[in-house]
Order: sequence, then C-alpha cells, then structure tokens
Amino acid sequence: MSMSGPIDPLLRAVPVVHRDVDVGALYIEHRARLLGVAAAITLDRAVAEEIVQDAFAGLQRHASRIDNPVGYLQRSVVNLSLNLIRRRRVAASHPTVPPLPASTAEVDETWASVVGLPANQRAVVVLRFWQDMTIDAIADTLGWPSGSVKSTLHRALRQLKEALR
Amino acid sequence: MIDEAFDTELEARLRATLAEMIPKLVASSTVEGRALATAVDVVVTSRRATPVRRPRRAIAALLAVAATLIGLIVIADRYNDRTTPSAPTTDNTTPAWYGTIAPLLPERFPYVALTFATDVQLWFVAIGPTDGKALEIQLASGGYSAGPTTSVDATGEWSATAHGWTVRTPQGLFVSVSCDIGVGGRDYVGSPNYCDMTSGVLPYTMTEIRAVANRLATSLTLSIFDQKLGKPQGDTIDEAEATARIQEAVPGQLITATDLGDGADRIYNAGVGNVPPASSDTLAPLDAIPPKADTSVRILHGVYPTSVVTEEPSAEGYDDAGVVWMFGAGGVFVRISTTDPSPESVTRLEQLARDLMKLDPVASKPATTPTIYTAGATTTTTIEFPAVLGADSTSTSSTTTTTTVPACGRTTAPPTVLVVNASHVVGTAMWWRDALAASVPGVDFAEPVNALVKESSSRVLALSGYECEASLVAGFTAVAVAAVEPATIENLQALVAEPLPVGTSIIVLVGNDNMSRITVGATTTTLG
Repeated sequence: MSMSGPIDPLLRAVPVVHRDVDVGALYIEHRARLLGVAAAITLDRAVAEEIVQDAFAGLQRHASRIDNPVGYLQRSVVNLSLNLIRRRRVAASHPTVPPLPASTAEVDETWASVVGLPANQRAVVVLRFWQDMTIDAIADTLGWPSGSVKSTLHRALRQLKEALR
Repeated sequence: MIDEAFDTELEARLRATLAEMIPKLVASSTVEGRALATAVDVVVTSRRATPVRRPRRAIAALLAVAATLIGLIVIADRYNDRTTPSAPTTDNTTPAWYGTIAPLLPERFPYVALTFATDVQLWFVAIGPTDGKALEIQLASGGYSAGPTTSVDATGEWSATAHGWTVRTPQGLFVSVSCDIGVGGRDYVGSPNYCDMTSGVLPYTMTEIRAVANRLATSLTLSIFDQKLGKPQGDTIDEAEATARIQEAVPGQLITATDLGDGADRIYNAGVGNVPPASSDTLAPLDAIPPKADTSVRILHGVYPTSVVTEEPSAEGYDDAGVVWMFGAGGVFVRISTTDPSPESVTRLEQLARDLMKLDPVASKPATTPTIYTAGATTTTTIEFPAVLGADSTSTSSTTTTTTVPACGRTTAPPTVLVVNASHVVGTAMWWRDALAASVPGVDFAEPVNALVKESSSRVLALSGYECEASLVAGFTAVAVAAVEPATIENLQALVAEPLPVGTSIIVLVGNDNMSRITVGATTTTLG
C-alpha cells in the first residue's frame, strides 16, 4: 500500500513539538491502534491512514492546548472516520471492502456481519470489543450521551445476532 | 443493561474476529483508498446542486511575467473600499520575521502571520486578500522524512502533499507549503483542492505552490532558526465568547477549538458529523440524520502588515464550499469556511465574521487611515483612468475613475483599453499557455496560467500603458467597463498576439455582465 502523499510531513519530521507533548512517542505508541479503529470504521485502509495522519497533524499543531492528547487523537480519528462515512453515504457510494482471508469460517462470517453494520454501530462495536472501552469512554470519544451509546450498541448486537443465527 | 444482555459467546466471537481481521484490514491493499476518495468527490459533486453563492462572479485571470512590461491593466472604480483590502503598507515596526519571509512569498499573499515558532520550527500563514485562500508555510530544521519522495533536484527531495509540496534541502532545511481555504476535514489526499479550482476564482496551482517552496528552500538556510525573528502574537478574543457566537451561527454543530502560538492561530471546527440528536437516548440511524455543513472558523492574530482593515466581510464560493473572511485592526484576521455555500449560509457566516471581529477590542476599532498599496520601498501614486469604453451602455455608468495604484513604474503610454467578451473563451486554461508561448518565441510556459470563469456574460478587460508588476494590483476591484463587440477568442488572443519581450506582464480581468463586481487577481509567473 502506498499513500499518494503525506498529510503533514512535519508530523513525522519533528518528534517533540510542544513543551509537554511528545507527538513522536504518541505516534509510535498509538498509530497502529488508531489506524485499526479508523480502518474498521471506514473499511478503507488508505483513508484510515489519512485520517490518522490528520489526527496527529491536529495534535501537532494544537498540542499546547490539549490536555489529553490520547483522548484527542481517539476522538479525532473516530469522528473523522464517521464524517467521511457520512459523506460516502450521502454519495450513495460505498467502497468495496477488500476480501480478507479469515482463519476460520466463523471469523469470516462474523467479520462479514460486522462490515455490514451501519458505520456508527460498527464504530461502537469496535471501540467496545476491540478497544475494550467502557460505555462512558465511548460516549466521551463520540461526544454522545451514554444512553445513545448503549442503544446503538444494543441495536448493533441485535443485528449481529440475527445475522449470525 | 446491554452488557448484561449480551451473549458471552457472541462477545468472545466478536473480540476474536476483530482482533484477527482489523490488523488484516490495516495491512490490506490501498486500492480501496481510491474508492473513498472517489466517493467523497461524488459527494462534492452531489452538493453542487446546492446554490453556490458567487459574490464575485467575476474571475481575474492574470499572467504576470518578470521585469519590464506592457502592462495591461483594467481599473475603473473601486467596488468597495471596505470589502476589498488593498495591498499592504509597511511601517517602521515591521517584525523581523515578516522582513525575512515576506519578500519570498508571492505578492498574491501579502498578509502574513507567524503562528508558531520554536528553535527548530517556524510556521507562517500567508493570506490572499481577494479570495480567502491562504498558504500554510512550515519551516523546520533537521533530517526530516517527508514520506514518499516525488522527485529530487538541485533544491532537494520533493514530496507532494495533499495540497502542496515539501522539500528537504541537502543542508537539512525542511520546507512545507500548502494552500487551502480552510474547509475542515478536507485536507487529506484526494480531497478537493480548492486553491487549484478554476471555476469562479483565480486558481493557485500546485506548480505555483512548488515554486514558492522552491524559493524558500533556495533562499533560506538553517540560520533562520538562529535568528531572533520574534514570536507569534497571542490572541485577544475570548475563546468562550467566540465559541458562543459560533454556536449561535451554526446551531447543532459540535465545536472543537484548538489553537497555536498562544492563540495567534485559533481554529474552531464545527460540524454535525455523527453527533446524534441532543438529549436523545435513542440514536437515530446515521442515514436519518440529514447532512449538515461543517464549518471551520479561523482567527489569526498578528497578521502583518496591520494596515488592512475591512469593515465588511468578503466572501467567495468554491463549488461545494464557501469562505468568508475579514480583516480587523491590529492584525486580526477572521476566516470562516463552510461546506454549505448557499446564500443563506454565507450571509449567516458573514454576520458571524462581524460578530467575532467585534469581540476583539483592537480589531473592532475602525480604521484611522485608508489602506493604500505600496510595494516595498516604492511610493504610491494616484492615477486617473479616463474611460475609453462605451459600446455597452449598461456598463458605462462610470466614465472616469480614480484609483490608487503602485508607483511601480512609469507610464509608458496613454492607457489603451482592450475589451473582449469572454463568453467564448471559457475553459481555456491551456489557451493562455499556448497563446503566450506562441507569442514569446523561445519562452517555455511551464504551466497553464489561468482559466476563465464560465460566465456567459464575462468580459475580459485589459488596459495597457503602465509599467508595473502585474501582481501589485492584487486587491483592487474594478467596475464599470464596457464591452466591445464582436469580441471573441480572437480578440482575446489579440492581447498577446504581438511578440512580447521576456518580462512582459499581463493582467486580465473578467467581470460580470454589468461589471458591478470584478475581482482583480494576480499571480506571478516568471519566464525562464
């Protein structure tokens, strides 16, 4: 995979940007995880890369006023991913999810069901079961009320159960 | 509760599946990246159905070349001194950083703010006063990696970014230059390049951006970081107050504020995105939430020169986006970008710009002196342009105009006005290059210069006779010029039909039917 260009090359260029935030260290530590979150929501590896770069670029630029850099990154990645999904939906154009080899038929079937979830439900599922985040943490990340997170998760699980039954 | 009701087997199955498949997805091919980029573009296209306000239907297309010239200038009346700032004046308190960076920047972007400064980095924003575009300039020291190298030349290793270029010199100076109008979330690779759009506004191309980066990389050295060039100017607008104003203007949008340089560069991003209906425990399906605009508000402090003040905001439409901007006293600059360029939206954001400016105790002060244009050490001269035109009675209401133009040269001849109807030359960006190349034997125009806006009533206007760097007229607005019929592409070609010496500058302006609003844009192309 290759990107057509970096979002903010200085992000990679300068490990330490602001007085208290080591963006380089955060990048090394969290990039892969954030990339996974973005990819799981957008189902698009390349765009996920861009989104993660965007998030780090935002952190790089505004680190001095960000109290919780990791939270900022997580929030940025999830929201940027969902924003892009929204636009894609408006366009009525969905990217084809690349076929991925699964170790078992069960994993393959489950993954297909996850991919088939609406993006917001998939986001909640990923944050809950891949990131092991609590409902409140998910709510904070998404900027939603906790109740909305719960109901979204509930609908997602119901749909998954029906699909996997 | 959800967790209580959840089937543990399904949970385990989900965890195992996600743990296995997400890394595989991350490691997958990038082919799908193009799919989403296309999808986003499709969204962009679909939104074009939204009425796009083009406060400046006119587009200025200009080719400026180097030294001496046959200046082809059109100027009539200033449309509105309040809304269109002229080019900057300088004073005795010029910051060191401005004196270092400004001479290296295109004159199309004369207003500059230092937004971030450390021992190894300097970030600037250079503002174009006529269309809301800005150059984001970042200088850094060290052995940086800019991602995939696009090319290598004598200047250094080049990489294309989303809307610009980076170059790393062999000496270790890293230069990044990009151009945008500030639309949030649209600066990733594959997103619309508003600066390069040829519709409605004067484009600023990737090639031009690269030229800026090249100029910086070849003119500056790492010693710039050893110089005491100054610090960004902190903000004077209360963040909470600003947020409240923005929230009033874009109700329902989630606002995130970030800043740089102790507030010199503050950005408020507002958007609906995935935000569910408030106070609802039942999240509506994403598809049920109507798409709404994303809005990005940027407030810069310390913009220099500080002479520019606009009492009313300017606005420009960019297909599926719009931008509103305003200069306040004391170097305050407000730019609001939106993905909803409808007239209603732009009107609302214009009011927001006024409201935000009022929050600044300095910016809200009225200008004490009119802004005038000077170029470096030159002085200004007021020249009265006699109207020469008259074929179109609807557009000759003003017969004599007075404007202040830079005294950047001497008058070589009485002004000659050439007017052609541009309705037949729409979409002819390449034409300029070809025509000019044919007109200037031996000179290679490296890129299309500018496209003309597709306005059936547009006219291309030119007035020659003044030696002047063409780009110096940026910021002027011309009105009330008549048409000459028949006027076709041949007439336009006639503007450059005669062999032009190297260093010829040409200014071409396109106005709407009644010439009520014409933007004079400028760019600089140097002949090789």
